[in-house]
Amino acid sequence: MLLDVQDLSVSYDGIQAVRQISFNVKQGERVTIIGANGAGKSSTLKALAGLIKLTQGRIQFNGQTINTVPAYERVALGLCLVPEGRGIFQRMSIEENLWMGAYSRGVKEFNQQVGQVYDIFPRLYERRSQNAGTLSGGEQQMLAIGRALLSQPQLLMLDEPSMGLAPQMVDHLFEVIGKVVSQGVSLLLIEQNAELALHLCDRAYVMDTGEIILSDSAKNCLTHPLVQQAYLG
Amino acid sequence: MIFWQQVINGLTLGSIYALVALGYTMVYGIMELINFAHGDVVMVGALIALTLTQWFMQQGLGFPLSLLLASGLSICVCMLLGWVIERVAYRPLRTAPKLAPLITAIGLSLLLQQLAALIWGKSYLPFPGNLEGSSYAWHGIVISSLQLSIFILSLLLMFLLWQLVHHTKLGRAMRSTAQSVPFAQLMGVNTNQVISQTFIIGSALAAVAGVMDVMYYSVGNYTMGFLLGLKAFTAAVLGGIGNLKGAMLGGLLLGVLEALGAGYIGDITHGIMGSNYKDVFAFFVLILVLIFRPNGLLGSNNQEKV
Ligand SMILES: Nc1ncnc2c1ncn2[C@@H]1O[C@H](COP(=O)(O)OP(=O)(O)OP(=O)(O)O)[C@@H](O)[C@H]1O
Ligand SMILES: [Mg+2]
Repeated sequence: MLLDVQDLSVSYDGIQAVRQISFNVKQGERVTIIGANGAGKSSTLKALAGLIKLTQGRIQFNGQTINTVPAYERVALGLCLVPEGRGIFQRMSIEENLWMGAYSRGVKEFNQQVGQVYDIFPRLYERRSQNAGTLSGGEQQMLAIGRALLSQPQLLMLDEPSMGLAPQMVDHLFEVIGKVVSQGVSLLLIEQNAELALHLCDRAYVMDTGEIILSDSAKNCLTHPLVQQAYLG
Repeated sequence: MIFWQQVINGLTLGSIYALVALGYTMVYGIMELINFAHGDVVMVGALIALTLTQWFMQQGLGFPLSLLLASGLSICVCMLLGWVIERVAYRPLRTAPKLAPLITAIGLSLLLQQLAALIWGKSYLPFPGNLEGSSYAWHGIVISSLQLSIFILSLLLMFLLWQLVHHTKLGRAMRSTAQSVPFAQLMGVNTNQVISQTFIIGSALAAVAGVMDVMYYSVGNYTMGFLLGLKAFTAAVLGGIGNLKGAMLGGLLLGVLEALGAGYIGDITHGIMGSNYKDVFAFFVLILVLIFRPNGLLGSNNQEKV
């Protein structure tokens, strides 16, 4: 088991946003969490990345309980989050942003791997010395994913990568995500676009008001009445 | 001739302002905090260097060696002081409303001054040793070797800081932390450590500026950090607070403006105001900047912080 979460709870000022949820991701697996706005999806990922404290529960990564590991040490363990809104450093160049991705690995690793990222995202190479803030939304998402790859993650967590992108761009993005994870990276994906997510992933959890209300294979979810009704329209 | 002479004098002063302004601007850039105690770190650096130089000379060491040792020790003490200030005074207030750290900063400034008054007394202390040195004259403009050293050393330090911030791992960590603490953490940056290091670097520059200042005026006093700090803060605002280049430019510019003001204020006001009013210029500049260009000369809404 790569990631094993037991009874995870998160509250903001005493109000529970995530209520004792348990789920897991196996090595090489692609898992999606879908759910309505405010269901607690982002809060869950932030807790996994260490950005917010959990009020209850246990997170195990590669068999190690990481509850008390600070956020900045989790990257080195192979747990990488591309947050909602992408987390790009607007006032740094594209290449420097990529360099930040390899921050926990080192310059040598960066030099060895950055070529592969540029191969996947040629646009980034063309504009590598420009400020990341000048990229379009889609390009910034590519940068965020490319940067995440440079941290050599075992588990890549993406929080709504399609947000704010044109449909065409979204299709291209999901193609790229599919390519990336086919190289052995496990994926935990949060998406509003349930259809795309379910087609990309192996398994799915459905969240509603802080709880997991359904857990099944992605295939079954696609035909599940609850999912059909609420998320596939 | 008086014009160019005042420009030279202004650049000397200005490079001291710039070194102090960098401390304000780095801390502001990384955590949007105006560390009003920064000027008093300069004072501590100056007085420690002054006392230690004297002491080393009494032990029979020559002036240059004494100065060097004293400055080195003073830098170390100030770095430690900067680290302690952040840990003890500011870190616990990280999530408090903005007013809390600001009030703390002012309290800290007073505390440092009172401690200094206890240690060094309230009178003006002369800097030991003969600082006359040689000077160079050129078409009637005189530049002393002290002025030249201050200017060159400041430029060198500014260049090194620029390299550090833009081309090293720590520099990138600083810039990413300045843009977003959580995003930087997601990259693996230990942001608390980076903030500490920012205070330490700023304080080291403050110590150097303190030594320069106390040598330039050849006296030191427990209140010397107040005005210098305020002027350096003005310089940082003038250049665009949070902006490194802005602090450098703002410092030099303010120094020159002040020196020119001091040189000509008598003529302009027909002798009503003398050069002793030169300090007014800094605050005149501050007010003008705040009215007409609140983001500073190099600042914009989307400015490059740190
Ligand atoms: N910083 C915060 N302070 C207080 N409440 C918060 C905070 N962040 C999130 N919440 C609340 O917690 C709940 C879950 O939010 P979360 O962002 O995890 O939802 P989400 O599933 O990611 O929603 P979306 O699809 O809109 O991104 C919401 O009710 C939200 O209002
Ligand atoms: Mg969300």
